[in-house]
Amino acid sequence: MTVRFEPLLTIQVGIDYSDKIGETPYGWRRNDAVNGQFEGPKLRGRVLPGSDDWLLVRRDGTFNPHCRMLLETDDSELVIMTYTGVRHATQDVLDRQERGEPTDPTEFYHRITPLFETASEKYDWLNRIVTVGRGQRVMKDGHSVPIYNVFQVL
Amino acid sequence: MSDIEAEMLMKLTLEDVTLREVGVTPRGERRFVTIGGGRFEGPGLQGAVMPGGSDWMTGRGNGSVVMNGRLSLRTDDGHTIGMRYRGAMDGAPDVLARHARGEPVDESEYYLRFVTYFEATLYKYGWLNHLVAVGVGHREAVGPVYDVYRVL
Repeated sequence: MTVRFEPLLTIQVGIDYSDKIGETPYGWRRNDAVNGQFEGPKLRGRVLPGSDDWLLVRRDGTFNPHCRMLLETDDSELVIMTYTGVRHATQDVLDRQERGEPTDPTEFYHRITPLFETASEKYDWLNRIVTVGRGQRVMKDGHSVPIYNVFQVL
Repeated sequence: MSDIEAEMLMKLTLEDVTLREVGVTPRGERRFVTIGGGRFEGPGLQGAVMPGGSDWMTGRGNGSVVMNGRLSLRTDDGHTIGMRYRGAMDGAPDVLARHARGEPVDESEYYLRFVTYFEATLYKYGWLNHLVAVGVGHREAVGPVYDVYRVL
């Protein structure tokens, strides 16, 4: 018994601006307005303005993204993508990532679980699948941002 | 594209599962599934599913069902772990109807997958707080069985 995955898309996230809310009853909050590009075997396109990530750093130091994105495919269909997930590493590794220094995938755990929603007939199959993504960190426009490789759970 | 892997976390067997049709709401066909008990077994993680769990399913009328479950797990060494899962069940309408009536359905006939997050105290089972897991479902005579894998 095992579980299998198939590549769905790679999404490169960028940050337009970042609002630091700070310490709240839930943890430390930051709201990022995000942009991005995505590409995979069956869909590609861009992240539309208005997409955002209400990032929470929990009291145990684990990051939870709370991201809502509107995707526009290159054939002009709209797909909502929402995800939460887990980003977990030692403070040293998180600091190095924030400074844009390279980190090895074995040094951190960064996974997301995107949900898709669309009215598009062509992409209706996205409404019916379960997906997980694996994140890594890159610098873009002065921000430390994620690239996610997202896989469909077969 | 780099790869992704998973390893067995636990086998979750649900018992005393009853389905109540709530009816059509603004969100779709709502089904309230109550879970009366069960067991979970995995490396370093064994115990009982406590009564009071539920899966608030939403049928979308096109052969697709959204799962939204919450369970309370009690380990054999006395810790309580919260488990939330969200998933998708997809198959031909007659297959899902047989499934809903508890009749045997071969797992090749439908897709039942979910993602799940755990919440535990920071002591022995604190490692569950920062992992992402996926579940693969099928039905055995006793009830639904979910193989849950930790995403590596």
